[in-house]
Amino acid sequence: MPADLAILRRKVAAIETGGRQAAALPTGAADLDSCLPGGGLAWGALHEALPDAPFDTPAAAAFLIALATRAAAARPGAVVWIAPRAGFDMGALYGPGLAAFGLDPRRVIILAAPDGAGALWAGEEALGDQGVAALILVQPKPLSMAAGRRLHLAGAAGGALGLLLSPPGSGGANVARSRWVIAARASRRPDWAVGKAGLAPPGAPAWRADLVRAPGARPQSFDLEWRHATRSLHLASVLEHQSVAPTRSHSAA
Amino acid sequence: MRQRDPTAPPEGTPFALYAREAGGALTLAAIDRAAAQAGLRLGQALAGARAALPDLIVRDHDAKADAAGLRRLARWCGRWSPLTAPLEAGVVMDCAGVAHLFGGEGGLLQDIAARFAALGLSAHVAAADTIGAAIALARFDPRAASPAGAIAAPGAGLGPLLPLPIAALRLPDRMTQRLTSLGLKRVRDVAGIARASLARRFGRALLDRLDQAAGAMGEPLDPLAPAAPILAQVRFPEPLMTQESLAAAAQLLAQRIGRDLDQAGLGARRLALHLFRVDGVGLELTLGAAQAQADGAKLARLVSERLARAQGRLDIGFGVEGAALHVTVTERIVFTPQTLDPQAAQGALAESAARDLADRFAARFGAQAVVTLAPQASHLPERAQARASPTPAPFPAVEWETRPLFLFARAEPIEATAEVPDGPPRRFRWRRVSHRVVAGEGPERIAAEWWRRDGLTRDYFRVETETGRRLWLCRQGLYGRETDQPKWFVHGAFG
Repeated sequence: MPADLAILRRKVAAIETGGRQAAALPTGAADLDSCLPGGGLAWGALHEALPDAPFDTPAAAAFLIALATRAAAARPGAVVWIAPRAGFDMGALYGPGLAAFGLDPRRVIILAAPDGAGALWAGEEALGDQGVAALILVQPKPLSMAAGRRLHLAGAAGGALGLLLSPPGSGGANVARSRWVIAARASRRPDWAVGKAGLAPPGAPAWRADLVRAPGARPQSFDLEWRHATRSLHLASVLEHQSVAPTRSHSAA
Repeated sequence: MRQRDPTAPPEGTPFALYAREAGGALTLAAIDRAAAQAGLRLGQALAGARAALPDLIVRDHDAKADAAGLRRLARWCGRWSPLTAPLEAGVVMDCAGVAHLFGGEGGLLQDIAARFAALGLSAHVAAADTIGAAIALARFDPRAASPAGAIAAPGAGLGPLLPLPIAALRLPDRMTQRLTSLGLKRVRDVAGIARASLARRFGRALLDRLDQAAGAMGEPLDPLAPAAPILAQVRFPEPLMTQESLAAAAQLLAQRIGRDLDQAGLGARRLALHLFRVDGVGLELTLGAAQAQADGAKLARLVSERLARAQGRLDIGFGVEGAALHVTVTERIVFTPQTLDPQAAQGALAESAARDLADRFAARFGAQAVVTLAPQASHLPERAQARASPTPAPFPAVEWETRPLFLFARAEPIEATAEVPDGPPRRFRWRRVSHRVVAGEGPERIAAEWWRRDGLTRDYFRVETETGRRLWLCRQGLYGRETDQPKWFVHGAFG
């Protein structure tokens, strides 16, 4: 009976969205998706990540890029990265690195906005655009109520995945449908290196993601790992119990 | 047009600008009416002029500002004709096909004279078949100073020029002096001499100028704005003062342009928006599109973003009385064949929409603010990507798996010591925090590009700290061979 109900729910959701696109983008990690309403991150809504500490900024940005990569696989259009000039102090997006991460750099539009207001205008413009699969908006300051509202409306019109990177320790945006605090996490050792002396190479990108807020979900923490070959997130605990064949991350593709 | 100066001498006082000649002599570069009436002439030595006219007020001639002012004025003259150019201290306009809008050439000249008079500028206006004849008439025909201007009848050739002084032929100063000293003072005097003997005595330059003025030899006009195949123009009954009204006017022009482009089967790649200020200054804003654009609504959005970007710096003075939108580069619109696969069709649509979005960003923030990436064949990490052309090649994914997501524009120096000379450091200090390395891989040795001399060999290490931060470290210089003190940097961050 509960299974029938789930099928019925899915059917109703498909009718409601006109059958064009599912209402939510699954992350790939089943345990995580089941916590989120709709089984994933809602399209057309804002999702926010905050680094746990300043040094976790690349980790939080990479987590959002991972979500954007999934969005780009599910929906045609560009991934738009907007950062105010001098608003992101961890370098610039690097094409070969993006390609290695699983996102085609040719689908990325990078905008260095002159200031925060310009970034917000561009973000709104991008979210409302049919040619955009996902938007990553780097905000050096917490989003104001009005700005968040405008982004929210633009997202509802355009349907792209809206991703916000907020500064560490800030309260976060009120309009965000889900909010995450991201910290870097030690990557999994390759099997061949376990128990051996000396340095082993770093493994696949790994993060601790705390789901701080999402409607209908209780706050909880996930240890996630990004597999660039399948473009999906996995729970580290699940991976540890399976025997995963490829050991060195950069031989996996 | 010279700048108005609050310290300027009162009207009627002789005034002149002087310039330093190549030999170091100071000569008069510009004189006003009072000075001319007092007997001064251009090119006269400053000392002599001062001696002749002790109450002459002189200032240094700023040739650069003068030329820039003339350019602005020429651009403003775009309100009458799309093809205008500053030429020899004047403005030349191509009025073919334009004059009828003002009730013929007479009406056009009257309008020009009236506009200049309203600006407080005295203008000499003339219309003729050739550039040479028009300049000669404007300079030397007494009617040119009247509001009606001097007009040479179509096909008149050298006729109207015959009574004018020889200087009207725009010859080098020395040749003009030579001809005058020989008694050839008027155009009529040289026009009567056989061509062969003219050429023998004075060279081709004199014949060429005569032929150009008569229309027997072409003289090209090099317009400020290249001939735009498609343009739209609007004049406002009242000067526009606000950004919003300008944006609305620009949108109107864009819509019209869009219609014309659509009919011609062309798309716009580059556009120029010209604004004509009431005080005789023409402003130009340029914008581009990454793909040929013929959609009026999309062009209108591009133009309004461009205006929004210029907002702070756009000096509209006392208002804008007219505007024109030129399509300076067009491209034939190629229709990609319709695909039957709905998913591919949707993908193509989204791709085109994404390019439009990038165009709007570029119009708003400038082209340099928007980056799309393309691979570049270089093994130096910072040179392995380039700003993209419209359809870049795919990045070679497999080779780059050890590359970071973020690359620092300027590698950040760190304090590090390696336990083994060629190994990764076990500890390093970066941004005032100490990091302990628990996992690492390397070195990946990247030699300097041999055609660049300055480079040291770099060794890259992929490391992970005990808190899970994954960074790309770089050691510059081979220990013992290239340097005794290799420098360490953080060059990138992984996810």
